[in-house]
Amino acid sequence: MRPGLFLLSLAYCGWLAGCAGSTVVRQTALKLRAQVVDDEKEVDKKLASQREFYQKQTDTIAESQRQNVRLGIDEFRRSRSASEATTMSRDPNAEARMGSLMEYLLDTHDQEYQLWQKLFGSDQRTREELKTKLAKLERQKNLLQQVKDNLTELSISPSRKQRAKALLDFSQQTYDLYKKTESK
Amino acid sequence: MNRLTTALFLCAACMALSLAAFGQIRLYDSNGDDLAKKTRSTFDDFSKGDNNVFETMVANTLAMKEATLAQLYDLNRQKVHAKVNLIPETTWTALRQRVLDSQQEFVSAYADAQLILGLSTPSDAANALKQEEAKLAVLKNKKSSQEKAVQSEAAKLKDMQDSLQKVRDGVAGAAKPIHKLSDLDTEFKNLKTVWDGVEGAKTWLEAAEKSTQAPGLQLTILDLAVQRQQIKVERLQLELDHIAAQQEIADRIAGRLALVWGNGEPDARGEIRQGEFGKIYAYLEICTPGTACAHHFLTAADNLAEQVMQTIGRLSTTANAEVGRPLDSTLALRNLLDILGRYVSVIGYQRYLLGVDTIESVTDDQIFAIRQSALNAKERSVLISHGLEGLAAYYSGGIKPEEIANLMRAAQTAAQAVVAGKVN
Repeated sequence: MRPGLFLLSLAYCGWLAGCAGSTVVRQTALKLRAQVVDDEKEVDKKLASQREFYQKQTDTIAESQRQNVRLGIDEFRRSRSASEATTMSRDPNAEARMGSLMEYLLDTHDQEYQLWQKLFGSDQRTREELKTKLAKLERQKNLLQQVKDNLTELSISPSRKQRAKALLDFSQQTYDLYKKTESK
Repeated sequence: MNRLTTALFLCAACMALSLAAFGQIRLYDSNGDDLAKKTRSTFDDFSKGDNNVFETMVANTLAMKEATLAQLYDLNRQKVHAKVNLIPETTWTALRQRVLDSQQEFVSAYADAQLILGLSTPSDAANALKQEEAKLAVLKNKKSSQEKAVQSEAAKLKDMQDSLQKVRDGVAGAAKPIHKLSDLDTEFKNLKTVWDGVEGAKTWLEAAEKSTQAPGLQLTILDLAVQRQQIKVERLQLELDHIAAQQEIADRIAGRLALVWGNGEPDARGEIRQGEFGKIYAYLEICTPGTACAHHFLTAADNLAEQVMQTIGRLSTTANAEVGRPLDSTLALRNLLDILGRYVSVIGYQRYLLGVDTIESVTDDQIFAIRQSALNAKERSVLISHGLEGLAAYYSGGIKPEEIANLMRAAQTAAQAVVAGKVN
């Protein structure tokens, strides 16, 4: 009877130890999950700020176009031609020459083009840079989500000790790796 | 003896139960390993290259576009220089013909752009503007209906995400272990109510409800449904972005055509008397002083035979004496320079920008095709990471729910590759 009871007690203790271990694993998982949730919020903030930045850019361009900046280009050209007319008429012999005219026309063209680009330029590059940044942030978010899912699963099955440990270790490692790359 | 036997039997039963439990949780049994290896190998194939490959492709496309535009700009500048060189010695009559030629060149440039874009080429300026406006109207309608589709699917996604998050939070915060998600009475009922109202979500819900002994698997199935909906929204959003980009370019082209030639209708001489061309032509004909056209520089018939530089010299000289007197010649000279500047802008950067818009449109098509591929790859990644193959095998009876953990673990290996591929 004694050996039998001893064996029974041993099995019971082993089972109890397993339960205690699982509780620790579960608590650790919940703690880590809370950290991951905080990080997710940070990534969400970054995503929101990127989208806000792009929206502001788009709004600025739209606002410029609403204000009919073409008139601004007309005004710019008129001011340049008035200035050149003054220069030529002040000293016709020296200034009313081929070189002056060609220089005036080419400079006006280039400056108007710069102004046009500034006011009507495409936002294709800005748009794509934003998308690239968003894609990278989305990948970070997905990674955190995966870690969080693993940790949630740990909360479901605290008695499956070995599996729990494997998932927790893996989640911790993945999370550490994320933090390491994020701090670079 | 009997009591000893009973005790030994109880002990053996305990150990057997423990072994059974351990048997269930074992991550690396042989069958599971084979499946995990297969999945891992698929993931290896997928993640062999750079994880940022699509972003690199987009960056390369943009770099190529900018290099092309730089070349185009240089080429255009050379042409502008060549034409500007001729202006001083050109007579006003000849210049008027050159403006007419430039007008036709602008139509040809637009037609070439349409050809590159695979669209029908217009016969004249009026048709070009009509064609562009019609394209713009179609795109506006398309964008409007696409916006509605995105909003509708995004709302469904949010409902699904929120209800699943409540279940997850419920699981994480539960005081006792959860054996099936329906143990969380309130949260799961809420999820069912929400998902029943979403088209396509019910199937996933039913699949999850079948796996009553594996709450982790239930969550995986529900999450897969959310991910699929997420990708559906992203795909619709991407299409919307593409339409918006097309609309923006079409809007710019239509605006440019209207700016350059108004409605594009020519007069009996074939001259378009609206827009920038109209303003140029208005000053290239005789206008006697005292009429509505103030401060013209071509006021007599013989002025038309003057070279541009000759007229400038004449006006500069008379303007020199206009200190403290009405500024007739000064303003005429200013108008002359203004008109020449306008002409150079039409043959120069306005025409160049028409080419820019076309290249940008083609670039956009390429970029959105890359983004589409990235989304396809992402969808594939989601499917594999959720062990869809495993789920299929599970439903055919060939795999235990626990073995799907192996597939999930393989998916996590891919997650590491994402991190290693410089996520930030």
